[in-house]
Amino acid sequence: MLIASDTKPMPARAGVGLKPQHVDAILSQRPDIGWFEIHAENYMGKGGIMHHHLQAVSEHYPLSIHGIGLSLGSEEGLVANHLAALKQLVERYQPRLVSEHLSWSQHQQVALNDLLPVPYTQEALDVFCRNIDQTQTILERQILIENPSSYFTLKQQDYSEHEFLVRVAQQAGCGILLDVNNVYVSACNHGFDAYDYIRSIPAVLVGEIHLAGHSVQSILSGEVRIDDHGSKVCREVWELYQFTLTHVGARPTLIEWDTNVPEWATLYEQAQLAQHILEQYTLATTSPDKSILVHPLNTSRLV
Amino acid sequence: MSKIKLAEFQGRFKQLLLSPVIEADANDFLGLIQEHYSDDDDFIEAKLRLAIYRNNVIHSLMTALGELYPVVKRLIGDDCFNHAARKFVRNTPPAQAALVFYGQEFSEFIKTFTPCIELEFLADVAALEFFVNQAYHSGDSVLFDPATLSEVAPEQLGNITFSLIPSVTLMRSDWPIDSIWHENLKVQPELVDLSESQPCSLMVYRRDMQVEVVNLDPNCFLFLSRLQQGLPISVAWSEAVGDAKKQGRELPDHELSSMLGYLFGLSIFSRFSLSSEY
Repeated sequence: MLIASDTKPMPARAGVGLKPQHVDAILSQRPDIGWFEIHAENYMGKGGIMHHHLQAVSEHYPLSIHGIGLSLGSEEGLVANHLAALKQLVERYQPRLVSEHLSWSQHQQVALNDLLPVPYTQEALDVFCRNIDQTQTILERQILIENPSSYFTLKQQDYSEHEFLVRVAQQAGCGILLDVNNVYVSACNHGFDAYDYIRSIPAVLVGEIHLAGHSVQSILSGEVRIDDHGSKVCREVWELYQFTLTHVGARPTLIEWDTNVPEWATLYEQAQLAQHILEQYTLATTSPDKSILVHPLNTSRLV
Repeated sequence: MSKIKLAEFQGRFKQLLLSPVIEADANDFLGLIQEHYSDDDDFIEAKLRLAIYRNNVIHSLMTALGELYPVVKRLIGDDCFNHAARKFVRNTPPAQAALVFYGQEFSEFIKTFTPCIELEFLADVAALEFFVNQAYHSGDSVLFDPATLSEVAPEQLGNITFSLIPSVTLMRSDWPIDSIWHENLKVQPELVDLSESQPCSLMVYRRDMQVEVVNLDPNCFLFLSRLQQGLPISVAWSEAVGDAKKQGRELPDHELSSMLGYLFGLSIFSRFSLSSEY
């Protein structure tokens, strides 16, 4: 069931992940950017400079709160203290979007600090629906859940990942944060078609898009792609993003960059690229002259 | 073959992510995921892919620990720190996902970590860094204005109790850990002389947004410790006088007002109230 909320919608513009090292540049330059996203867990301290800066940023830009530690896939259920801390944060900053992951990270008083895969079984589906329902009830709002990157395929599953993701969203009444880089990374790692995956996601469920860089490591069979958020978005992911917009429509789009964080100008440039693609798409779909289509991406700008 | 149960999958996966050796546990786990591997390469490939998750977990936590303990890391060097951190992270993974609270046990751990056993001051430096981190993230607080004490009748002054702002932590060490900490935050630290005993009585707190480490006069430390317990000024003072005497020092009564004035100047009290218990 969709939970009614009086939260203002997030504009379908490009945003970036807020990093402490960029706060001074952001507050002094006030760049033209749609919004900022934070990792909830970094703001679970009670006060100090982190909150002081976030408060200042939130006075000028819409916010999205993205959790990485709620562990919605935990069979044992959610950690009440963590959910309470998330609620406190959501109440304090009134973000436009709140999101979490289709993964688990917590097991019997141990937090593993990673987004771990679950087997896509009926049992896991029930676990996700139960945990998401509890989260949405406590937060009194709808959340989005993000498709993960993964590095091995689990056997004996009842669903493919995209089937599972859509079923969870439909049954739990949450939305989807479609991470286009994760789709690409997992498609390469497991040999499925990234475009088929995107096509299978009902547009109405998608509330946000993520884009990020990833790395490539050699492995026995050739190579494996690692979702490390440590570089520019690659050309293939930009192309997949363009396709995603034609399928789901213009959506708030985040550039994530969490390791080897670059100078503000580099991150801003990536956001501007996403913004440019969003605007091109919007122009094409709103123009009465249907002959204006989304232009193929000029790839020379991307790398 | 029946489908894998989620609880079993998560329990075994967790074990494998934290285990120092991949071999025995991995075979067991990979068998849970897939019944048969077509050949050895297939099996080795599965192990390598599993290793990506193991690396992600251990390295992300080691990185987080390094960010929480930059001075310890600098003192013992990257290699030694990574060795210690890898062992600590496996033995004491975080209980909660918010890593701002992680690593409290690292000070105890490093005390018995064999390669560092001769650096007797190291555990206290680690404890200091933990308190610095806690102060950094602690709750904001209003500050008490000493001028408001003028509302209190003179005969009631001794009954005043103070609430401290939430970031305050008091700690003692037999080593000059405040100098060690300050110097090792600099690009080019000065040598800290450890040849003579230099115990310190420290207060860690956050002044506005900046974390400060103050080396208090030992008597002032005793008095503040008593005030922190919620004792009224008069009782805290007489207890502190007794505590000082046990440590072989005098604490003359005429120092009370200057000591209070000094503490007010540090901006560490959030409010006062009048105690009726004493």
